[in-house]
Amino acid sequence: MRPSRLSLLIAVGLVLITCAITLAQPEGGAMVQWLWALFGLAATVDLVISRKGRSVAALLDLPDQMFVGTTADVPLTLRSATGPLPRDLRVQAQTRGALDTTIPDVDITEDTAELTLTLTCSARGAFAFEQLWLMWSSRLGLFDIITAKRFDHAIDGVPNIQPVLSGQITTQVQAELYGVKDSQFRGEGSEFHQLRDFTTGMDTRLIDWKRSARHGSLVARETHVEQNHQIIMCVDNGHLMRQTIDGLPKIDCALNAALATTWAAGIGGDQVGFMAFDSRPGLYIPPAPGRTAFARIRGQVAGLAYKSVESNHTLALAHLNGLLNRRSLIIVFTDFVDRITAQLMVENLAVLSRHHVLVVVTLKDPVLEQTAAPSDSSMAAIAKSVAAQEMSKERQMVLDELRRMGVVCLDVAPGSLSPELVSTYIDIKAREMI
Amino acid sequence: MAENRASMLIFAAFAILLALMAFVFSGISDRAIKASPIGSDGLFHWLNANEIEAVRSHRRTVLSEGDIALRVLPLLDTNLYSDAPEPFDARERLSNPTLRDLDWSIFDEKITYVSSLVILPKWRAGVLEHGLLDPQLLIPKGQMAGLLNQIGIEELTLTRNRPGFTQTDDGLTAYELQLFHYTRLDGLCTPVLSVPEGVLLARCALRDSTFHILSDPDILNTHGLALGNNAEVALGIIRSLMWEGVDTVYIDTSTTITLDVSGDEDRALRPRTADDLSRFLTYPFSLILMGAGAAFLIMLWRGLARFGPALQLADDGHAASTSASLEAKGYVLQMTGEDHALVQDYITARLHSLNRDIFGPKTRFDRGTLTKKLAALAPHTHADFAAALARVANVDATTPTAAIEDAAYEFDESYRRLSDELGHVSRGH
Repeated sequence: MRPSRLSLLIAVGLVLITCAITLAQPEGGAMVQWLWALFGLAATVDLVISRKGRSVAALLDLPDQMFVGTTADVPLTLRSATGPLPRDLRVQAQTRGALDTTIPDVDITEDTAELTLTLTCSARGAFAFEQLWLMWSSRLGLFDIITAKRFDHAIDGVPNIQPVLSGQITTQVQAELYGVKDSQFRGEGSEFHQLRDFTTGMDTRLIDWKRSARHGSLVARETHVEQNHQIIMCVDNGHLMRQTIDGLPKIDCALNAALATTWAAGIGGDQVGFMAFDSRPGLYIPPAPGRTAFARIRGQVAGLAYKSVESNHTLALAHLNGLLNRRSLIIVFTDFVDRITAQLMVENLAVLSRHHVLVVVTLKDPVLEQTAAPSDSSMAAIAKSVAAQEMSKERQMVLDELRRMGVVCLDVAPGSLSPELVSTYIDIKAREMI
Repeated sequence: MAENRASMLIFAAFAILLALMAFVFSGISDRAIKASPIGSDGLFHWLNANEIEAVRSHRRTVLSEGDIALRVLPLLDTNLYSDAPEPFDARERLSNPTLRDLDWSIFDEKITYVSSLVILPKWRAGVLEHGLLDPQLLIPKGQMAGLLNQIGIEELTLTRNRPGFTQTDDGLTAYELQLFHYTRLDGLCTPVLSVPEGVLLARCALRDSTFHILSDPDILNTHGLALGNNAEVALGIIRSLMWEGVDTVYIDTSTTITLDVSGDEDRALRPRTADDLSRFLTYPFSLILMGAGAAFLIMLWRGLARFGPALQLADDGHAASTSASLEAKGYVLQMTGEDHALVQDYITARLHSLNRDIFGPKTRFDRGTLTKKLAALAPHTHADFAAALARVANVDATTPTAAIEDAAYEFDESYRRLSDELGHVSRGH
C-alpha cells in the first residue's frame, strides 16, 4: 500500500495553502491546522473502510516447460472473497529470466475476472514465474492498495522441438526417403534391400541374372539409400551467435534446427553426434543412433550456457577432426562478420572438407537487407546502406569461397532454417555424398 | 508513463537549477582571487603582523568612513565604464583582463571620501588559471591607458622597460616592473616614490579627491611581498599614507559601497548567532516546515512502495548486434566527409541490385546492357531515372552536401517509380 497520486497532490496543495495563509494572515494558523487534520482523518477513514490485499485471490495454471521462441497462453482467474472486484484493478507479472509477460486489460464480472496471460520464452535456461502484482485504489482514492501473490513456479526454457512433435519432420523425411520420391532413389541406392519379382515397367538393369537363373524366373534387386552414416552437429556458441534475430538468439535457432535434423537423421537410420564450441571445444556427445541421440542431445543442449567470447574455429575444428575416425557429414552452425575474421574459419573448414562432407549454416539477418534499401535519402541512411551492402558483399564472398571448396552453404532466415536444413540433409543422403 | 513524465519534469527542473548554479558560479570566485599570488591576503596578514589593523571588505562589515586611515583599493578591472563581457571560450577566459568588475561611480565615491591607495592592475586572468607569471599574460598597455583615461589621469603613461626581474638599490623587486613615465607627470599628479626608471607611487589631485596611485601591484600583492625588500617598502608606503590618529587600513576588494558615512555604528562584524536560524523555526515558518515535512513523508512513502517488478535496465551479457555495427560503420563513413563518393557507392549498389533482380544473381553487371533493358521494360520512367543517374554522376568533392542530398533524393524517388513500373510489367498489367 502507498499514498495515491491524489494524496500527493492534496499534500502539495495543502503546503501551498499553508504558505499562503500563514504568510498573509498571522492568525491563520488554526485554520491550516484544521485543514491538515481533516486530511489526516480522511486518510485514516479511507484505510479502515477500504478492502485489503488479502481479499483478492489469484489462480494461475502455469506450464513447467516452454520451447524457446514460443508463447504460451496462461489462464488467470482473479476472485474476490468480499464483494465484487475493484473496477480499476491492475495486474503485473514478475518473472525471473528470459520470460516476458503480456497482460490484457482486466474484464471484471462481479467477483471474478478471467483473463489470459501470454508468456513468451526468448532464451534457454531455468526461469521462474515469481509473483503476480495487483493494485487498485482505496475507497476514497487516497491510497493505492498493492498486493503481490507469490507463485515461484519454475519454468524451463528448452530448445524448440515443435516440428518434431508435430510430425512435420517425420512426414518430410519419410516422404522423401521412403515415400513417393523414394522410388526414384530406391534403384540408385547402393545398399541392397531385397529381391523381388521383376514386373513390366521395371528397369531391366535391376535384374539379378544369377539369382534369376537359380530361381527359374526373373528377379530384380531392390536397393535403398545407405544408412548408419555418421552425422555431427557442430554448433558455434561464441558471441556472434548470441545476436538476436526476431527476438531469438541465433544459437537457439541453430539448436532448434540441429534437433530437427537429428530427428530426421534418426528416421533416416543414421547416427548423430553433437559438439559445441566457443573459445575452446565444449560439450561433445559421441554419435549414437538417431532416437537415442535425439534424447541425449536435447537434454544436454538445454543447459548450454550463453557465451560472450570470440569463437576459436581452429581449435574446435581441429579437435573435432581428431575425434572422427570415419567419413561423416558435419553440419557447422556458425557466423562471421567479414572476410578477414572468417579467414581462419575458411582455412579450417577446407582441411575438414578433405575427409568429410561439410554443411555450413549461417543465419541471414533481415536488418542487413532492410538497411541496404533505406526508406529515406538522408546521408546517415545512405552511409548505413553502403555499410550494409559492403557487409552483405563480404559475407557472400566468404560463402562463395566455401562453395568453391565443395562445402554446402546455407545462408537462410531463421524461420526457414529447419526445413531447409532437413531438405539439404535428405538431398546429401539421397545423392550418397557421405 | 504519466508518473515517469512527472519524474522527468522534476528531474529536468533540478538539472536546470544545477546548470544555472554552475553557470553563475562558473567564474573565478572573489575568494580565489584574494587567496591567489596576485591577491591581497598576504598584505592583510603582513599588516596585522606589524601592528597595523587591517580589515578586509565584507558585506557584513559595519565601519564608517571616519574609522578608516587608508583604503587600499586594488583594481582588477580595465574598463570602469562597462561590465566585462562573459568569456566565450577558454582562450578568452585566459586573456580576460577583468577579474573583478567595478563601476566608475562606485570607484569615484570610494576615492573621494577616504584617503585611498589605488593599485593598478597588471596581470590577466590566465595567471590565476596557470599559477604562473608570464609576459604574455600582462595586460596590454593600450588597455591600461584606457583605464587611466577613465580615472581621469590620462597624462600618466606606463612603462615596462625592464623585462624579467628588476631589483632596485633599496631592495624593491618585481617581475616585469610597471612604472609611470617620469616625463609625463604634470600638474595633476606628483611623484611620491620613484626608482631610476620611473615613478612607482604618485599622488593625484582630481576634482574633489586626492588619492595615491601605485603603478605596480606586485609590490603589495601576496607574491610580491615575498620578493626582495618589498615587504618593508610596503609597510613604509602604507604607514606614510595613513591618516594621523586612526590606525585601520581597509583593504577594499568589494564592488559596492560597504562603508557607512556616519560613525555611529560599532566597528565590528555583526556576528552570526543561533537566533538567526531559530527565527526560521518559529511561526509561521514552523507550520510551513511541518506541512512540507508531511508532504515529503508522503512522497517518500509513495516512492518506497513499488507496483510491479523492478525495471531491468541492462542485459546480463553483451551480444553482437548487426544494427549497432551498421550504425557505427555508417557513422565512420559519414565522418570521412566524402559524401559524393558515398552517394555514388550507394547508387552503384542499387544498380547492382536492379541488375540482379532483372537478369538473375549470376549475371555480370554491365551498365549499358542494364540501361537498354530498363528502357525496354520501363519506357515511362526510364528517362527520369537516367536523368537522376546523370545528376548523381556529376556530384564531386566540391558539390555542397545539400545538393548531394537532393541528387540522392531525386535518384531514390525515380528508383521507386521505376521499380513500380517494373512491378507492373512483371505482374502483367
